[in-house]
Amino acid sequence: MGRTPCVILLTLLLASRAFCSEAGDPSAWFKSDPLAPAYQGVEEQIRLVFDDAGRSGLPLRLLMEKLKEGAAKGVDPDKLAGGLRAEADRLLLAQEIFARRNVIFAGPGAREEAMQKVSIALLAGLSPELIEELFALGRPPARGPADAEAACAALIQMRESGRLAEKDLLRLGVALMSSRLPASTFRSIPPFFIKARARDIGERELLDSIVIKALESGGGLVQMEDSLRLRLKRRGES
Amino acid sequence: VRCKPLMFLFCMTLAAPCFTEAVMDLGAGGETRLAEDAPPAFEPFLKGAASLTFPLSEELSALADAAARVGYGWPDPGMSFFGFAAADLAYRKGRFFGRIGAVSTIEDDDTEDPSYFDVASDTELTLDFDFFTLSFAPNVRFIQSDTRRVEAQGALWSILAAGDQTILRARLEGGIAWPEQGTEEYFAAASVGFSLYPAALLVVSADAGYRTSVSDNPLDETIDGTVITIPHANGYDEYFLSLDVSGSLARDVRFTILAPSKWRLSDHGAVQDSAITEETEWLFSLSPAFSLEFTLSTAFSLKATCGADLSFSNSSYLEERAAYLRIESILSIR
Repeated sequence: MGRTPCVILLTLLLASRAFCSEAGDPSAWFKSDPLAPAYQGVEEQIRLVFDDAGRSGLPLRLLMEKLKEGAAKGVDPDKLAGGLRAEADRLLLAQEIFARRNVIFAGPGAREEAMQKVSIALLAGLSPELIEELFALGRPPARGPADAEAACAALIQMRESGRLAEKDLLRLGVALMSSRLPASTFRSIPPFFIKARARDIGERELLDSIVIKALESGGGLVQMEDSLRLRLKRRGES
Repeated sequence: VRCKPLMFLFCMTLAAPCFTEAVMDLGAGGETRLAEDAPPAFEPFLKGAASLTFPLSEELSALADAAARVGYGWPDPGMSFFGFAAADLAYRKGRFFGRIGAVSTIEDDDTEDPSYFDVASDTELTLDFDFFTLSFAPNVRFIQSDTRRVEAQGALWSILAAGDQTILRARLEGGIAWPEQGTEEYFAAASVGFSLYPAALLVVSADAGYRTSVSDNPLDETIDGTVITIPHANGYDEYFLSLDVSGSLARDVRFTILAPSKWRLSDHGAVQDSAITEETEWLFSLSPAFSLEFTLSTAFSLKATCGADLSFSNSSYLEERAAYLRIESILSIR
């Protein structure tokens, strides 16, 4: 091996080590970041969260991002330490779901992204059971984990925009994952609910008679729009 | 022998497990007219809807659907009632979807206006493809209001998904009506529209169309206490455009903007000073409304609507300019 390739390799190794340390070790952050002194009081708690997460095999980069984000926003130190612990717990839950359901990802990047999305879904109030069911249905060849992530995002919006009970969210999630609808269309379902609700169609009627019925019969937004038209026509509204 | 298939369906319907859903809403609405001397109006109401679905086989299902609303509007119109009932039998096999049934509505209140009742067949034949549907609905309807009327109409429409976020609609409609008095009337209509789902929790819909109606029948209208006979009363050309934007502003807060408008040119002269003139009657009407709905719990919601009914015409009896604010609270029991 010539001298130049050796230098390049060494540089790359050093750079990746520095990156890994910065990405997963809070000590480096406490030493280098000008915002860190405000959090010296909770350094031990934060280090403990990272140590536990590291032992569980969680991607520490995600926790580091949260730490930096919280510090940049000036979050109260105790709240930041508590928030990091809660985030680690959610990521652990995501990891357990993936392990139980034997979810296969395209690469570590996709896995980390999915963990982050599951954490957001848990934070938004979706139950672990519901999320697990979506990933159980997100299996090849028909579906993949990215579809489960899209379904989670749609159900978060459903929770935010309406008052569907947990069991109804589960039914909708299962219907979406079992349908022929492409995942990119999932996000159109919550606004469809809003549109129909604005026309005084009850959430239960909407869910059962329009949305789930269309999805189960192999249809999508087109069939839902047609079904809504029929309901409105019967009530003399169109 | 002819009754056997019907008997078979009836028995299957009774024997099939049925899915029931019912909702009852208890509510009250208040409305005040802005920039008018009219007193505020108040209306407590009770409305309910029930739906029963009977899956008869893999392909066949029966549906019974009913809804009713009873209200007491103070000071006007006193007691009011609206009800509808529908029943149909639906068949789905592969790309084909067919439905045959009947639907009826009834409306009445304490004003001097006659009550309204109609009963219609509800037939629809649809070819259901992945990204579009093509439907045809030939139906007949009997209407009993101030006069009796029978209508036969056919509608052909298509709904198409253009990408993941856009739905396109097109519709052609035509029909013939036999009023109790007078000769047949004809109508034809065409419309196109779209729904856009541009961002999370927002949907924008718009429809535009044209409708023409041909009638030789005159109608007696009481205008400013004078009975005026309007020739070709149901003959007109109409262009309409409507906009509907719905979205979510925050958790449990939804908004809706509705803006229907139409431009109508009648087949008769304008009414001015209690007389028909040579000038063709025109009417432009616009009813914009903005609503905010707050879902306060699974059972309780509050809806505030601010809107206006604006009509401009060269016939004085059609002119209207009114703005209103309506607040409605609803308690739902499921």
